[in-house]
Amino acid sequence: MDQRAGPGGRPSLPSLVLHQGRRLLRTLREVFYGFTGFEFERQAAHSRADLENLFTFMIMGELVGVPVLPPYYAVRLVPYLVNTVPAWRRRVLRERHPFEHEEFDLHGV
Amino acid sequence: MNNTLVAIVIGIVAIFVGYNFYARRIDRLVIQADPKRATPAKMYMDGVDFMPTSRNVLYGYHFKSIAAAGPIVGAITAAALWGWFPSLVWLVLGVMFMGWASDYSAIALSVRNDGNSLSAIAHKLIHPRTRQVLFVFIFFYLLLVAGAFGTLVATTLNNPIVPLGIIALGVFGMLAGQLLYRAKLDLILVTLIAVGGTLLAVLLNASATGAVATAFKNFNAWLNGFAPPKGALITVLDPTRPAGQQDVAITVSLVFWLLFMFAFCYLGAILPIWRYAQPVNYIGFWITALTVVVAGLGAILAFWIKPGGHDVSTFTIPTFVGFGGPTKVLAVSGAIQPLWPMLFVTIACGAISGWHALIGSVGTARQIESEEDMLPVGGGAMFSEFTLGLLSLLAVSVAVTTAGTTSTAVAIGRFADGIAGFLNVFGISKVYGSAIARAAFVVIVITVTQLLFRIMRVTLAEWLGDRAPIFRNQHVGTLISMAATTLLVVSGTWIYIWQLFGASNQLMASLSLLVVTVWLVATHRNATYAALPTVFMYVTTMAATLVTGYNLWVTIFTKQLGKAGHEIAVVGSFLTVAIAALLFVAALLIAVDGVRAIRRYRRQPIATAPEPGRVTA
Repeated sequence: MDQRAGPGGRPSLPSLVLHQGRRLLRTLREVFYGFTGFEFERQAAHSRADLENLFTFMIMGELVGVPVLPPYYAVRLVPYLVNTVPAWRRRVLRERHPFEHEEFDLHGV
Repeated sequence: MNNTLVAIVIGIVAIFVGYNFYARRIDRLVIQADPKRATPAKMYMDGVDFMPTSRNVLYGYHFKSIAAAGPIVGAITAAALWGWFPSLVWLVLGVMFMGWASDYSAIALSVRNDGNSLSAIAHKLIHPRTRQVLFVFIFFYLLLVAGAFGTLVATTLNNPIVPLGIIALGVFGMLAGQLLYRAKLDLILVTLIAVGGTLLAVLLNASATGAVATAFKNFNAWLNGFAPPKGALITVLDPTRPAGQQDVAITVSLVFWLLFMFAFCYLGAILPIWRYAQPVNYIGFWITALTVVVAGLGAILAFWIKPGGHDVSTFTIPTFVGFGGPTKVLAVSGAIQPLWPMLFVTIACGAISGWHALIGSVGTARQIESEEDMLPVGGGAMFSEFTLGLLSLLAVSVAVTTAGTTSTAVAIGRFADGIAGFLNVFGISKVYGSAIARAAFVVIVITVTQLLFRIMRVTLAEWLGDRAPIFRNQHVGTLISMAATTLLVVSGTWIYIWQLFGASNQLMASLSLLVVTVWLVATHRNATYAALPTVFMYVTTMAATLVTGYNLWVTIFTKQLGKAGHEIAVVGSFLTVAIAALLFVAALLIAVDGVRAIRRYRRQPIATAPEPGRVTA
């Protein structure tokens, strides 16, 4: 049985208030994170993706006519890339808007 | 009726009714948001561009992205021209029936179209040339914004009680970037150092008789000594000033602070985003957010709390100036400011904004976790931005500074005075309150302006880079953008530049709503909620562009042409007329293509599901 439940199985008023209070607090915390830390998280993700693109390009460059690494080393590294290939393909081949890379800084005008 | 509390209550009711009884209805019946349908964030999740994110986080992020100087400046200017009542009515009706619809629909459109941007969808749905025309449109739109904001920043920095805080913002921004990304320091610690340091600099410069302000005053006077008398380099005409004061001098010190702003923005446009632009924006966010939140609370409490016996809740400006604006003042130059269409472009972002649609479709839409989040994020953020416009209107309406003109310095002074009154409710001295308000104002404008130049060079490269590769050079692109902006700032009349910007911004909103309308028609849904605002905003903004063109023409030929000292102003006015004409033609082209597309899709039969077992090509 729910420890918060009051008479009749329904949650008691204090527990309901506490529950709603916690929910509100969590919402506020998330909104605050959206205001502050989220853009840094996105920036970090973008930087990582750029590096991953570069790494994938080094390994797969041969496919597009730019042999960066000797094939021997490229073949040895291919297994590490397999999981990321679908996302990489989408990211690289997707049609892009010129502002895309600036989007987290396009503050309203 | 004419006090802050009533206006706030009206605002809250507007948000409640607009969101719950209109926006939700459209979301449910027209767009038919379905939590079971996979969003692009889920389908293409890559942890970078496509990433399902909590609606609360995304709301905060999206609101921060769309809220800036637009709603503040628009409300200040419109209140001075037509009075507080029409400004309030337009803010309320605009956001209730159009603003949320534009922002929300752009996100919904992108979510339902694989997370593609608005221009890519326009390319597909309307016409291939739409995308190219949109880039030309966007570049000149950005140029107008940069011109309008550049004047505001330079004018405010020319006031000796402001510069130190902005210099500190640049220095601490650079420092914060290094501490965060190179030294890997904790975000909270960096925030305390950077925001605390910048705020301290603002307060050190607050007193007009203090050592820092006196030093800046002497510096400005020294600069102006190079062009006697009074440092006037060029003279421009401002038709909104009282008779006899319409010739406005562009001084050496003003040009200096404009160049300072360019140096500030150059770093933002050229350096990697993490090194400068992003931390500067982050510090700026804290300063403006603290000011806005405390002042907003002050505006509510001002009805009951009268600091020192002074009433800061009653409006001091006229309720309604007239349908023609301040006609006696305007008659001197022959300019006109009819309430329709000019009010609807003077207040842009707080009511409806096209820029939001671009941002929403490029970034936010790709992080929507569930279709049910589209309304709270897109619509909710727009309703929240409306409150920023409302607060600015309240601030400028209760200010006790001398009223009467829309000149930039006076308008900013009134805004700062009003915010200082609200902060005074909490015991913050008016001297510090006014300094904080001015600093917050410049911060919010300059952080936008630095990014404008960044986007302008990107747009320029996209638009002309294939024909002339030199435009792909980031330094060339930035310098060209800055040179064009300089010409606008030193030669143009601010009110016209602002209204042209407003017109282009609203035009972009109607273009985004047009794309949404075409999509709704193509998918055989009721497009009325998007089509009606499209038509209203389209007609209004085209008319406003014509009125601004007329005003420029009248001002050039009757007042400035052939007059000594006004030569550059004449060139600037011609440039502004040319931009107005270009925007007009670009919008016309997109509209013609849009109407053709609507007709095309209307003729198409409703696609039916294939019969079971039947193979279709």
